[in-house]
Amino acid sequence: MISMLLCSLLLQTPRDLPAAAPSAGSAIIGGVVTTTEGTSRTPLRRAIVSIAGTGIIVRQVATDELGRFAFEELPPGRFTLTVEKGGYLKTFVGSRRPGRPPSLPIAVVAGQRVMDLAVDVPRGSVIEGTVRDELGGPLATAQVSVLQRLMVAGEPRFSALAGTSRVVADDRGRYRIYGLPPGDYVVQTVGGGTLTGAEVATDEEIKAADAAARAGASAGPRAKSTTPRVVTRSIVYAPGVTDLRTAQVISLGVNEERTGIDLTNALVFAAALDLLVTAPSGPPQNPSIGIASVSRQSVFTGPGIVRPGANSHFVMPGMAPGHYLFYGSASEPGPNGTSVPLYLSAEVTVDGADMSVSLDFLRGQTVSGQLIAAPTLPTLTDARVTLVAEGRIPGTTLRNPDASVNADGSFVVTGVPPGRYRIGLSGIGGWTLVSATLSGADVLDAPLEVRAGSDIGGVAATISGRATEISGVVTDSAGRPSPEFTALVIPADRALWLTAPRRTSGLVKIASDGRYQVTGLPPGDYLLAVIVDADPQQLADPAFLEQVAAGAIPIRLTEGQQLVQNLKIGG
Amino acid sequence: MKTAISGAVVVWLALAAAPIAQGQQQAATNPTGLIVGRVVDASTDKPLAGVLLELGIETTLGQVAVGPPRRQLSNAQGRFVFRDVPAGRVTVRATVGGNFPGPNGFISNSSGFPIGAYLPGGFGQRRPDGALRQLTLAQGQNVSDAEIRMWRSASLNGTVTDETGDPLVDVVVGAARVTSDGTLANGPTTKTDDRGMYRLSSLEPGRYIVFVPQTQTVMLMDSVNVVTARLQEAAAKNGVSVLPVVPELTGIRIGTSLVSTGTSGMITGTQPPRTVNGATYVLPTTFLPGSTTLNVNAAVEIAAGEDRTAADLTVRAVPTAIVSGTLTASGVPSNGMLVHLLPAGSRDAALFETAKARTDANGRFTFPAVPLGSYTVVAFNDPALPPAPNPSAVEHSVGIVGGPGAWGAAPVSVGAEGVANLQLAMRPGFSIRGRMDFEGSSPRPDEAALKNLRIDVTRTRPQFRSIAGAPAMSLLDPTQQFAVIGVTPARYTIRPSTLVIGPWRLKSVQVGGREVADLPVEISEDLNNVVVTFTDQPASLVFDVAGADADDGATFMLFPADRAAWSDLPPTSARLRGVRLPTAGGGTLPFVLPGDYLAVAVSESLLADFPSEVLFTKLAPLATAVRVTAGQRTSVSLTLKKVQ
Repeated sequence: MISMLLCSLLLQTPRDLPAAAPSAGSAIIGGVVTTTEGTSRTPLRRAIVSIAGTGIIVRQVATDELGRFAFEELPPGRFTLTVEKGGYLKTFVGSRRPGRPPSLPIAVVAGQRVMDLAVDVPRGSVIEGTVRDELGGPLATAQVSVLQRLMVAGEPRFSALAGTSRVVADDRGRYRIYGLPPGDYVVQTVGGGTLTGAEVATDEEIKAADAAARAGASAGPRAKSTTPRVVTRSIVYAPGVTDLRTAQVISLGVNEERTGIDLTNALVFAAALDLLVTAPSGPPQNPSIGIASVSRQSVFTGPGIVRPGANSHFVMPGMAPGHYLFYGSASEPGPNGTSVPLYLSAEVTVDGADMSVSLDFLRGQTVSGQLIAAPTLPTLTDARVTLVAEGRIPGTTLRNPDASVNADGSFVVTGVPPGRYRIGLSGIGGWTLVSATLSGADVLDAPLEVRAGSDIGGVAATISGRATEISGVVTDSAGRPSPEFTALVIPADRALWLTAPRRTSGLVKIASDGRYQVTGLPPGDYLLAVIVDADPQQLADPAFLEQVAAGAIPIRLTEGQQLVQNLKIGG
Repeated sequence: MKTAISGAVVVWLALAAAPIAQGQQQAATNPTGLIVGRVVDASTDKPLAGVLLELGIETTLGQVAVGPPRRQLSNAQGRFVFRDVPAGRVTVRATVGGNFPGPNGFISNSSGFPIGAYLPGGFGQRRPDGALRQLTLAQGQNVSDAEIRMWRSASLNGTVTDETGDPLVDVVVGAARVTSDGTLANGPTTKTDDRGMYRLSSLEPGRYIVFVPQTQTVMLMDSVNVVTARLQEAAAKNGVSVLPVVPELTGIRIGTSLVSTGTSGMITGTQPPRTVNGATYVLPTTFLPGSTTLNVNAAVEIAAGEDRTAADLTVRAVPTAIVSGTLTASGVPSNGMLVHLLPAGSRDAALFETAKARTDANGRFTFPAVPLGSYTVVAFNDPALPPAPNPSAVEHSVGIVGGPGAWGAAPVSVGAEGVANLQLAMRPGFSIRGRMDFEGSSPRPDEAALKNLRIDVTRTRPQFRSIAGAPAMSLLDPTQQFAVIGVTPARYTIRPSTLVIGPWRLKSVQVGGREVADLPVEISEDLNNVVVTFTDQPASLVFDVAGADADDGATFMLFPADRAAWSDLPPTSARLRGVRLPTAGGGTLPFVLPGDYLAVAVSESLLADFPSEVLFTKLAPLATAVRVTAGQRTSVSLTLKKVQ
């Protein structure tokens, strides 16, 4: 299907337009693509090499019998190359990590010939196995995919791997996922739905029904009032568990084949949950309820407005066995026509039997404190303090509690559900939080823990009207601006690497003139580095940060300091 | 024909008694019937667990489940029970693994091929892909021993390599079933894995051709350059140096053309061309075991449940030539049109398409790497979209060159020297105009019913995975006129979108005095004054059959007497009727299109090729001629015929 963009561009085309090739240049980039099996390195034929960069649309060539390729007529500029071939890792030329971006840019001037690129492309790794049903038969049509496990702040996080699709187990229940880059993986069979109304009769039921049928009885043995059972297949992780946290982690290197990763995805009976919705003073107003699966560490049903019946009950049919978190928000009338926010956070374990559960909406806790500034506080008319929640399961945070700040700098945030929070400040132009101490600890560098039934008072939050700034120019050894690199600032104190995101700059893009700028870091000791290839997830990997630290420059920021630091790459 | 219904099990439209009127079912008394049964492997009699059984309850035409679906999964002993079954005629369908990857490993009844280890079936089936039998339950009646036999599906397995023995990875492998009359029916496709291995599974027994399709998508570099220049302009204006990725512009340059490779995520499986010493080589569409031309006689025959291995294909690079030309309509170049290059004899099968090229602003197209051989070059516009109650508005609202349904086709023979300056002129599409009439004293359908009524002009037998685009259709205007605009020449059926509107039944579709209702008609000119007539006094047919097969009962079949219709009568045609009788007996078809028919009673197991010219030719000498007259009840008496 031709894209809309392309279509509209083509239809605007006047006839008999001179077909001048746009921005034809005179530089050439070429090389050889190989693959290594054991100790032998062989040319990779019919691989597709793509080039992108300054002023050109993506161009492609196929490698020849000797693995050779060349791109001609390139304009002066910087270019990145990738190599693809079925079963092999998509290779980003110049990247140090197999199968991962980004490519290292190659700069050419007019007429330059770079013909010596040597690209070795590893085979992708493979996971293979069989999906079976509860009777040991093949589970054809089971969808199988891999989740990549990454460590974030010391916690495992699971995410779908970009570029790999689900495969469907064949009629023998077999699956094979190939082309995987090195990494840690979990194999899952994807479920989620139910087969409404489908039943599996027990042998006793069959016998009774059979007898009834032969006797000409007019009805089956089961009472008609019985809720029809609903069967389902849950998400199952290899080796056959429903809790993601207990799944088998498969660590793959380069070109590894892991077979026999078998799973059993059993048919289970789903339960109907009879849910009673309560609040401290009568039924809650506008209850909105979502369901997350604790076992899968993900949201199962996004929050939606629930309209319980007159008796405050509602029914969730077809809930597969598992450990769930019901979360939500509601309100109840407060004094003088105000509305008091309520939260819901209830964990429920479903084992296949129908059950009744009470979902109790609760009032939150209070967090109060005082803004401090030297020598005097600015105008606080529009100032707001926000508690930014760090949800236990991604996506389950519905609301970040906030409050306006009084003229004297005091603030009181009410209705705060239990959980972990970061304190944020907005509405005072140019002013930022420097520290927020509670019992001697800075709750900006580690989350503020709010516990059920326990209010928090006396948060001393120091603000400053002078933001820090680090800036400079990054150049290569020839003194040319090097926009392909990335600047990174991390705290010098390793203990803060994973707990204090506010002390990390994140990946800072360098402008085409080589300039970079990092603003708003709190005062303290830092490490400044320039790196070539990283993805944001690596910023949570202490091993990676150690590498960064090894090549970094130590810097110290005082309050409001404007630091200029130029950087030169390589020798 | 299997084309449209492969994977779906035929259930005869068994209108053996007066139809159950719509709405009557709700009024029926409490459903209390009981069906107890079990599912077994047809060859081993072993019980099959986990088979999804769905209860179908009949309405006037065909099988429609009323209310929420009634489903059971057979238990570990293969047993199942349906309770509270309403009186009437019901079918029990059985599937393993489904025909679409459902969200949870269950069945999703979307279109697609079965992907389970057993072929879809149901109660009463006596052969793989055979017809189901209905169960007729009186109020409170029970069935205690409904045995469902299921047949294992077959598979084809092999490896695809190139001429050096290297595996071809992620290439498409397709199977097409060769029907008894030599045409190709739909079949599944799969992709090779990282070892070049493939498995085409869940196949019915039969003859198959297996192939690796290779279709180039081509655009001229001048079009690419024009688009690039515009993208550069836009980028400069926005101050960015890197241009956006346009998948259609991503490919390998061969001469003046760009051959698309598809980008990650939309891999076409087509391998890139290679140029060696100025000559361009491609991998051609290749048929098992390594031929580059389609030959239905080379089909592989597989038995029920067979796992055929070593169905290996070698795809060898071949030299190519350049084919170029210009596409015009009424002398005006067609810009941005797709021109298709199809191997001669492959009709409109998109999977066999060698290449498709987009024309440039001057109507020029180039196929830069065509394997030598005989081809057809084809270009066409889609028909006009409904609603089309105002014909004049339609014809002027479509801006494409040549107008809706414009088409052009030319044979081309490609030798080593290639073909230059091929002139392909598109001719205007045809239009089909007419009106709808209602004969009878019943109240006319209301405006709402007429508003949803379409006249569909449907290809009788599209080749599997046809390149042909949107179907042609029209709505009715307030005076019940219709105008189907933009029909390309081919064989079609012209029929209203429903044959039943309240008390009204389709009676006839007349073209210049000729009856074509649900019969194939060749369209090679404009058709005016087509009259579609509904009646409230439909013709009916009463039949009785003497004799029955001991274990297969008797199947009554009615099919058109006109031989010209046999080759491509659509399987859904109302002129094809069958009733499975468990024993000798008879019944009534309360609504039959008037016309001349042949009627025959045979064992159902003889109807494996239904519907096909071969089958009708075989049945004709055994059949009795029946003329069904409008508004009248016709009777026919038959004796079960034995066939060798």
